[in-house]
Parts: sequence; C-alpha cells; structure tokens
Amino acid sequence: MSTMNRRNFLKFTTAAAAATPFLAGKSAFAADEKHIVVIGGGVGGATFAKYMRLYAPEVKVTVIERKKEYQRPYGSSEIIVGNVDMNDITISYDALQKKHGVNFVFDTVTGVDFDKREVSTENGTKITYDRLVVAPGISFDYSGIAGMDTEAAQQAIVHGWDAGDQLLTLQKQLEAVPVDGTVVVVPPPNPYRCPPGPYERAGLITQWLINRGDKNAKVIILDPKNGFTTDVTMLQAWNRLYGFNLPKAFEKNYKPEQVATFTKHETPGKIQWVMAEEGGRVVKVDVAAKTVEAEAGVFKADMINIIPPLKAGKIALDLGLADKSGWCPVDQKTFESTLHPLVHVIGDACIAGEMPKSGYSANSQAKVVALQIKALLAGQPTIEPVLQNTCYALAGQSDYGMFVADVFRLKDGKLKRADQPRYLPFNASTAQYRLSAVYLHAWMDSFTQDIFS
Amino acid sequence: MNRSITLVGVAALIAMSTNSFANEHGASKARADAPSTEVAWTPETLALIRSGNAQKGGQLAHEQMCASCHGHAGIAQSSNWPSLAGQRAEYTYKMLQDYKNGSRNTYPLMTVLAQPMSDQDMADIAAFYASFKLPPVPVGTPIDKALADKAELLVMKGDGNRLLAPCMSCHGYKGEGNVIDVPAMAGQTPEYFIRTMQDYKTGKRSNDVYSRMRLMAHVLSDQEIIELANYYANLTQ
Amino acid sequence: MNKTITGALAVALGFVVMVPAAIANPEQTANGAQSPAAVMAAQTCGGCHGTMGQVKDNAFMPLAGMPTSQFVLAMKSFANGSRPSTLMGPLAASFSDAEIQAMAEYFAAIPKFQHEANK
Repeated sequence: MSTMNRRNFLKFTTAAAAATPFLAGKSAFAADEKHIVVIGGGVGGATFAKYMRLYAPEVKVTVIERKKEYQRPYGSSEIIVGNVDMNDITISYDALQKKHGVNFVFDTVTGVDFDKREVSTENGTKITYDRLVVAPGISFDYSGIAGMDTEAAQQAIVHGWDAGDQLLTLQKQLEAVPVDGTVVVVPPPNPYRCPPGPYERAGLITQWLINRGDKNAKVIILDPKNGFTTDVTMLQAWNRLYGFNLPKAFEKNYKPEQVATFTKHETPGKIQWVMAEEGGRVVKVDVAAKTVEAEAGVFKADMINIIPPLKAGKIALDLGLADKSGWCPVDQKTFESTLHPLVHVIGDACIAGEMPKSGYSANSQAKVVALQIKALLAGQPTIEPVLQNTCYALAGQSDYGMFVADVFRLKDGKLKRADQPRYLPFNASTAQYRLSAVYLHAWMDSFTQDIFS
Repeated sequence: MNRSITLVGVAALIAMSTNSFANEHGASKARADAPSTEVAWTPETLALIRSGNAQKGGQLAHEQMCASCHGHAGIAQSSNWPSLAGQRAEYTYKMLQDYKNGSRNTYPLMTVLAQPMSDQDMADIAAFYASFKLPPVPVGTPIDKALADKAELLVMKGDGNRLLAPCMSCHGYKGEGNVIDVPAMAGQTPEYFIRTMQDYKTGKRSNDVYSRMRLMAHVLSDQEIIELANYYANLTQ
Repeated sequence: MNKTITGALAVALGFVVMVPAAIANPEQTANGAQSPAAVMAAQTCGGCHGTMGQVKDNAFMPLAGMPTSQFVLAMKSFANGSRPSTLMGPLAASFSDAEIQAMAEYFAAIPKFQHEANK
C-alpha cells in the first residue's frame, strides 16, 4: 500500500474539495482515499487496474480474482495444436501488485450490496467501494443444444473457450483422432468472444492434421451463422491452402471478379464450412455415438469441439447486471451499468454497440473507463470516448495471418465503427499475409505487456 | 601511437577468433561454434551481386513492402528503422542472406521476409538500394550537433589505448562504406545506429566476420555510441 | 554553494514537488500533464505499441518520444496509402486530423523506452 507523503496529501485535499459529493459514501479506508474495486482479473479487469493507477495514482484499486495466475484466452487455440504450451499463456499478477500498487484479493465474490457499496466474498471479507468495475468475462449456455445439457456431456465435448485445462483435453482429443479422421467444430451464434477465433481454430486443426501426414482428414465447421468476422480473407486463404470450396450462398459477399479468382477444387476440401443457409445449425448431439445432427444432416466425427452460445460471466448474471439478452446494458460513454449506478461493466460481458467481444476491445474499454472514473471522481465532465479493436488470426498455417481493425466512436448513444476498410484487401500480397502472422505473434507479447507489466 | 600502429592492433584483434570473443564476453556457447555468416565472397557471389537488376529489385521491394519501413527510395520513414539508400550492394545482399539463414537474428520480421527470396532476388534488391544516393540528414529526428562533434576524434583518430581503430579507416571519411561489405553509415537514423551498436556490444548481433564490430563496440561507452550515432546521422555527402 | 549546485538542487527539489513520492514508477508521472482528449486518443494505440507507446518488442514501432511531425506524417501517409502497410492503412484512415495531432503531441511528450542495454 502506498504511504502518503505531504505532497500526496495536498493533492488529495484538492481533489477531495473538487469532488465533495463523492465523500458522502462510506469507505473502509482513509476518508479522503477513493477506492475502486474490480471484480475479475482478466484482460478488462487487469488493464483497468493498471491504467486507473497510471492515470490517477492517488486512487486505491483492489482486484478481486479467484485464480492466482491468469491464463490468457487470446492465442490459446495454439495450445491444442502444440504451437505453445500452458506456461506460454500463463501470466503472473506480480507486476500489477508490485510495480503498479494494485491490491489483489484472491477470493470469490458472493454478493454485492449496491446501497452500501459493499462487495462480499466467500471468505467473509467485505470490501467497500466508491465505484465498482465488473469484468466477469463469459459463461456458457448449453440449453439450446439437445444432448449437451448434462455435466457428463460437457466434460466429454468441451469448448476450450476460456483457456484452462479444457485446452489440454482438446489437445489429447486431437492427438487421438485416427489417421484420416474427421473433426467437427461448432462456432457459437452472435455475439460471442473472439469473432475470428473458432475459424482460426478450425484452420489450425486442419494444418495440424496435414502436418501429421493425413491425406484425407476432414475438418467440418457446422455454423449457426452465414458469415463471421474476417470471413472474406479467411475463406480466400482456405481456398488457397486447404482445397476449400466457396459455398454458393456466400458468393454474394464477393464481387464477381473476386469469385472468379477462387480455385474450384474437384474433391471436397480438407476444411468445409457449412453455413446456416446450407443447414449448419446444430440441433442435437449424441455424445456416445459421436454424432452431430445439424439441419443439413447427421455428421459423424472422431472429435467434436462445440463452443455453445455465450452469456455474460456468471457473477454478472447473479448480481442482476444483465438484461434478457444475457449481456449487461451500459451507458456506452462511461460503461456505467444502466441497471445499477456506480457500477461499470467492461469486456465481453457488456453490450458495447458495434464493438466485438475481444481482448483488444476489453483493453480499450478498460482504459476509457479509467479515464471516465478519474473525471467523475474529480467532479469533471466525462470525455468523448474513442475506442479501438484489433483481432489477429491465422488461417491455419502459422505464416498466413490476417486481421480485423476498427475504430469506434459514440453516435446517438451507441458505439459505432468508423466506416473504413477493416481487413487486408482481397488482392493483398504474400508479404502482407506473412507480415500479419509476424505481427500476430508480436502482438501476443506487446498486448500482454500492456495489460500485465 | 600513430595510425599504422593502431591498424596493426586492429589486425591483431581481428585475428582473434569468434570463439574467444564469445567465451570471454558471454555470448551463447552454442552460437560460438557457428560461423558468423554463411556468405563467402567468392568470385561467383560477387559476380551475382554485380549482375543485380535495380529495376527488378525495385519491383521486388514493392512486393515485399520494404517501403513501409525503409521508404520508397530507401530513406527510413520512422526513426527506429534503417535507411538503405546508397548502401553498398554487397552489404545489403549479405544482410538479406544473414537474415534468411539466421546468422543475423536481431529482427524476426526480416527473417520472415527474406525466407522466400532467391539469391538473385537479393542481388536485385541490393542493386535497387545501391542505385540511390546516400540519405540526407534524417528528417524529423533531432540531431545533437554538439554530441556529433564529440565523436570526431574517435572517427578520425580512434583510440590507441583501447586498440580502437578510427571508424573512417574502414567506413570512409564520408561514412560511405568500403569494399567488400563495410556498410555506409552517412545519414543513418541514429536510433537504428545505437541499437545496432548495442546489439554488437552485447553480442546479440553476431554476423560480423571475425567479430570485427563486436570487438569495437565492446570497448565503446554508451555515451560514445550516442555521439557516433549523431555524428553519422549528421554526415552528408 | 555555487550556482551549478543550486541549480541541481532546484531541479531535484522541483522533481520532488512535481511528483508524489508514493508513485513507484515514472510511467505514472507522464500522463498528468496531458489533456484528457490526448490521453483518450493515445490509449487506443497501447494494445500493440505498448503502454504509453513504450513497446519492448521491436516488430511494432515504439511511439514514445517520436517527434510530432514524424508521427503525423506516418499516420497521414498510412491513411492515404502512400506508405504501404498491413493494418495501419485502414486504422490510420479511421482517425480524424485532430485525433492524430493529439496522439502525436501525447507521444512526443513521453520519454522513450530505454532498452535494458541502452541504460
């Protein structure tokens, strides 16, 4: 904890004078010390804690987090194919605590008394806040897929969409796929975490099977959607790399002269994408028989990876911060909950207009909220926000990269993306794909540094 | 100590093997056995470089997006990356080869870009950049004239006590480089210059034949490196 | 006490007065003098170019300490396509002139990240 010297004291008294209304709230700490409590130490929560301390060093920040170390979900599909191991995606909270003076409580939140501004934890600790930031990530909703509603089914067919040991389960399941076997990947409906992610994963698995020497292995994507972020560049890549044939129903997304550049492969490709319009929506899973029933028919697989529909993290649902959609409505300028004042929701769990649910979005939102809370604590007007998102993805081959990049601004109360190209151009050069792959891996490091060091 | 004695000293230093340098200065042992480069200056290699087609090289440089960092005419767009304009073709060729085969591993991005290039591609790109004049003083990067002046003694006379040859004895009075693969440094971006010298100093970069630059950089102070960076950035033709 | 020493002391004292001692790292001091709009615009770059542009991986250009004119020229030439890029083209085109200028001033005022070897 920081010790207060005279200068700091003076600064506080000035800040406190400007922000007298906020002093009304009760605090367990020094009366003039503002305390922001963060629930969740993922990308959003950790970025917020670091930047709140960076932007307003006089504010005390406490993160309540269940796990002592963080496993980053971004880039974690590379675990399944053995490009990286669990150590590579495991990150310490040391720098946040020691370098940035963020207080960590490793515990599970059991409830929040919004009137008393008090968070309770499993170990019986009660922590009061001036403002609360909730960054709970995602939870999984299996209710819409028949056959997946039991604990046993969810342990046999895992999502691997929140880092953790499920990635190792998927790695083992992939290794157990017989030569020339079939893998089925089922992406979730919108909205979901990491829009290009399920498709990148399918590509990585395809490449892994090819590297193993399989000549006739197949990866089939059964999709409840008719498109996805980076689709126009991803499908072009698969056409080049994996004998992928463009679905007829998707051709309208390209110009005719672009469609003409696609190779028409005689045999079905190593990767297939069954879009919703062609019957990709999954209705039933038979775990024992390893079959997936989609509208287009029944698919038999040696390995099944289903990422079910997503909702806001469980704690957000329990605290009543989500609406009927399962996500948390917020004022998109400050990310303050529209259901509970003095509570901000950031990252995957919040409804942020056109912003995708991604690590970069959570990171950018966290910084915006730190700036807005700094202004609010000082009794100053909030700032017109500008946010950014970048998602990098691999086509499968580790030197073929792509991305989506967007800038977001507030328009009529909603975050809208700037109307600019967001992908590599259709006629991008080989060097641009190769460079994008280099940047993807460099980004894993620089992004982690920005959040955790 | 007069200049000829200094040069004898340098020759003696150059005769020291990469091995002894690596062992003494803590560069990794595994690397110590590897040659500093796989480029040999055979008549064939030199002929290939001389045959480089600057026009084809320009097209390749365009395809490989070289201009994004090095500028359309080889003048760096941002202070972190090197200018390549007027660089000796042998040096550019050697760097591309060294990146491709991992002898220079200071920058993975360049390795990825060099991998698909053929020997002829590299000769062409080298010819393309050699076809320009050396760069002017870098724009937008403040050069400290006072710092630059301090380096003059080192550049012109070296330092016999430390067996430091004058820089100009290899790199030329005007920083124009020399046969075969001694790079030009006039107008080079100072940040790139400093990073390069620090990489030589720490042994992170080790594609200099006979450890020539590692030995020099090792006895230079950080301040001297900064002075030299300003000197060469400010040196125009 | 001679003039130099007085000056040095004044600088040292000035530092103490300007920077609360409770702040453990110099990163925290650099944001205080910046306008909120500049901090807002510049935060969008951090996810790739590092906190306050002080990235440690050299695949991305460190922005901290970059002269304003160089930053503005880079963004404008990315935006109009005259400087080839992968991602920076579309991204730079999405920012307004005012935002680019604000970012440029923000990063120009931030000290360069000192590489371990350069300290």
